[in-house]
Amino acid sequence: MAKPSDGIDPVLGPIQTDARDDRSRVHVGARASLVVVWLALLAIPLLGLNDYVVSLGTSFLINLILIGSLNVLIGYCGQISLGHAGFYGLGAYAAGILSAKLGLNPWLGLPAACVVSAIAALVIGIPALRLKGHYLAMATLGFNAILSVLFDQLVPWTGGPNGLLGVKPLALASFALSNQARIFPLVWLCAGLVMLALLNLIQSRVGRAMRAIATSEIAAQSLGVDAFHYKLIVFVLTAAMAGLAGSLYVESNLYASPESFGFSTSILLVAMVALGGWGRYAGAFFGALIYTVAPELLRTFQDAQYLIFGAGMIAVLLFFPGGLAGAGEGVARLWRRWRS
Amino acid sequence: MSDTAAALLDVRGLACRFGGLQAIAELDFSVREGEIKAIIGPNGAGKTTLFNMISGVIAPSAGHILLSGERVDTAPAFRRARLGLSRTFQNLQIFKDMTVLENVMVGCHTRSHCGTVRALFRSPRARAEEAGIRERSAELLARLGLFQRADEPAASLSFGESKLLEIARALAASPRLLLLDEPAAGISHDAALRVGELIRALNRDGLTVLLVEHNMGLVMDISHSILVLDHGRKIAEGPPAAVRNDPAVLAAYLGEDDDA
Amino acid sequence: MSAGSAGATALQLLFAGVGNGAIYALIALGFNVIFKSTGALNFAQGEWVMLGGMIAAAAISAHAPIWAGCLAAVAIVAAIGLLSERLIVAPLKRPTPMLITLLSIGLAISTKSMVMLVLGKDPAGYPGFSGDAVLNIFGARVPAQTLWIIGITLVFILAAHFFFERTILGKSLRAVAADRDAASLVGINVERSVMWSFVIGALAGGIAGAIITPQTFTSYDQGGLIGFKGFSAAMLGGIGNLYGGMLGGLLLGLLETFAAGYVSSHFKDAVAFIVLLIILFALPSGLLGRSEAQRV
Repeated sequence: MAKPSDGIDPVLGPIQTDARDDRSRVHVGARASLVVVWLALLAIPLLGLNDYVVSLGTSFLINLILIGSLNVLIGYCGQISLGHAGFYGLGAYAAGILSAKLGLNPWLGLPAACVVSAIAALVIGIPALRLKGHYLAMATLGFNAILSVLFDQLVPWTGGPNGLLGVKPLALASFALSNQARIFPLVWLCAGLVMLALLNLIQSRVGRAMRAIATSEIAAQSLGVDAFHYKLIVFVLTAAMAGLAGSLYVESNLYASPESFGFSTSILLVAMVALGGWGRYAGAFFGALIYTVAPELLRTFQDAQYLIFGAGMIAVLLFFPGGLAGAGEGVARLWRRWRS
Repeated sequence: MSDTAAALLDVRGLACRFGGLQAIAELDFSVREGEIKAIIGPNGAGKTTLFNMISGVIAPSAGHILLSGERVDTAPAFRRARLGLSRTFQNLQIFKDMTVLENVMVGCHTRSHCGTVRALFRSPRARAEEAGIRERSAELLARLGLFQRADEPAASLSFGESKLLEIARALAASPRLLLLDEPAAGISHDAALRVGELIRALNRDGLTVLLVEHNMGLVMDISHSILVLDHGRKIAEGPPAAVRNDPAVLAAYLGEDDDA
Repeated sequence: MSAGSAGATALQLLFAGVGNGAIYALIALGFNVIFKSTGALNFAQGEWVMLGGMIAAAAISAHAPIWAGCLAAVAIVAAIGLLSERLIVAPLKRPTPMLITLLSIGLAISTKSMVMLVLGKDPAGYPGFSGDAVLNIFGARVPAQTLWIIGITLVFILAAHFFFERTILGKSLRAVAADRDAASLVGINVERSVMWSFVIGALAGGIAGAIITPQTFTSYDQGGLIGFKGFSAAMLGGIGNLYGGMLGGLLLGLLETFAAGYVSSHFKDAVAFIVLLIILFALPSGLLGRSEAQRV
């Protein structure tokens, strides 16, 4: 391939293999950690904990799909979406309506949710992503607002403000996944596949193209990266994942109501991505953890919750750009140094 | 001048207007395959604007740009890269959030294919392609003397090293024509000499180079042909010896000190 | 419906539309000024509008005269804009548009919840500057406040025009917006310009909030929607174009009001979104905008 060039200083000899091994060890590291965490999570229902904790676990996993996908869009691809909860809601209602109103097999709801959200993302994304600048943020905000109105007003389909009732639970033959412990493994599996797929994406050629676009779109284009193409792909993919999360939500709660899917939720999801550590893979876990657990812990401070999130987000962006994940990495580095 | 080599790049009647300012007007020139051509001229002559038009950052207001006879002036920048055009930037556009190696790996984008689906599933073909990309990028880094820094964040490189990284990255795309935007600006005299050597070596391997440069020593040393711009127009074109003594060129440069 | 009353209805809607349009024009101005100096979308803009109304309402309910309450609110909101920039934007090492946009989102969340905690969740309002007077203009019922809104907005626009065309500070803001590097080379303090753009943005937002509240009442959660509408107006006119934003605001106000009047009031809020989608699909530079090339 490349010939040694004469007169070039300093060609540093043959390619040293240890450097390469080091890096592949890092890759193995991320994957291995994921598997360990995953297996650990499966323990939740098996430990015979009460239904409440298991439902928290289910919520955590669903929120992980939401925040993990949003983190890739914002943190790795540099596109701000303020409509993620809208795609979440679209997926929830699509899946719910399929079984509650159309009487179809609830299993169809899962892929249907992905498809519906993906199509909606195409409709919004194509015009919004052609432009330079963060117009996607506003376009998705407006889109979410419109969806909220639709969820509220299309009463025969969505049940309106009182919510969608009559969602049929998923079933394997005659075994209905009708309580938290039963549906947990499915949610666990889906979340695991999503997080694995996202990890694969980030570490791939496509992931590099994404990250290049986020840092310098001009340089990326000069290297043959079609920025619009990749932005659209990531936007549609993450919207489909949010849709999947929605279908899992509606199947684990057998209910959906418009207030869970408004643009305020979308904004909060962005705050969670920032708090967890945007652009860091582990950030999704921290973000989902905060999002799931904080409302429970802060129940007494309910009204102050949002202030804490908002101020926390600002603090993270100013002082801890890595969010909690970055802080975690810093601690890990200090620990390693202390041990050596 | 005998045209034994075909024109790789053809610029015809190119013009660029920003509001009331005519940055480039009626520009015609060619870059022959296998040559090193330099664009020089006083500040404000329009050199970077010209580069930006050729690479696709700005659209020209008139004229054509042809790459191997094919019109590219309406093609977006990423398509020109796929047709064999690569460039570096005067204001470095290093991907600071990636490692040095990953920067070059992005450069391999046009020469690799695996798409999103294969990426999501990490298919065997994707894995094999990744290994190939990594190896190629490592070799390029080695060639440019940056291999030791491969796994470090690109933000930690010095200015001179960053310029080399941009070149390595641009080379990863296997270009036929490389546009270098002031490769010797801001680096030491010795480093500039090494850059000159690098360009000559790349050229011997078959790469056509078009560069914008202020370092006259470098330009006179390595160029086969020089294009001189002043106020957006060509005032001279030819081999270094001819251009060096061209009275119009001297007037343009010396005229800068003449504040009448 | 007789021709006379149809005409009166149309005239009534026209006044209402121009009144709403004036508000959107003010918000669009705020967006544009900050966009021009930072490249970012300021999500706190709508919250500043809400703040203007809420603070004025709080002052007035504490027995301040209406004028004084509104002026105090505007001053406080402008100060908040200044503080936001100094504490949150100025310390940034790499003030990229994305970072500032994300920070403005954090700011919006914090502002909204602060208001909720301090001023409560209840809607707030106060009488207009001429009380609740309604004028009869050729058969159309036009609230006096609408005329105040149009008048005050016109004054602000004229003042802004004067500021940007005739004062040194204004001209330096324009220079920074056009070319940061060139501006700093001629000695303009670019950082300060960002600060002033936040002050102007907050000022515009605060005024908008203070003058619209008598007609719409306001509450802690009204910021998001009105901010979005102001952004749509800015996009309609061509984002970054100050005069375009005013035109866009006027058009949006008219479109909304006529849609609500002749089609259905349910549609009112949807109009802004539909307009934005159409702009994005068909006319991304807006009516008066130019596409901006990035310089390398």
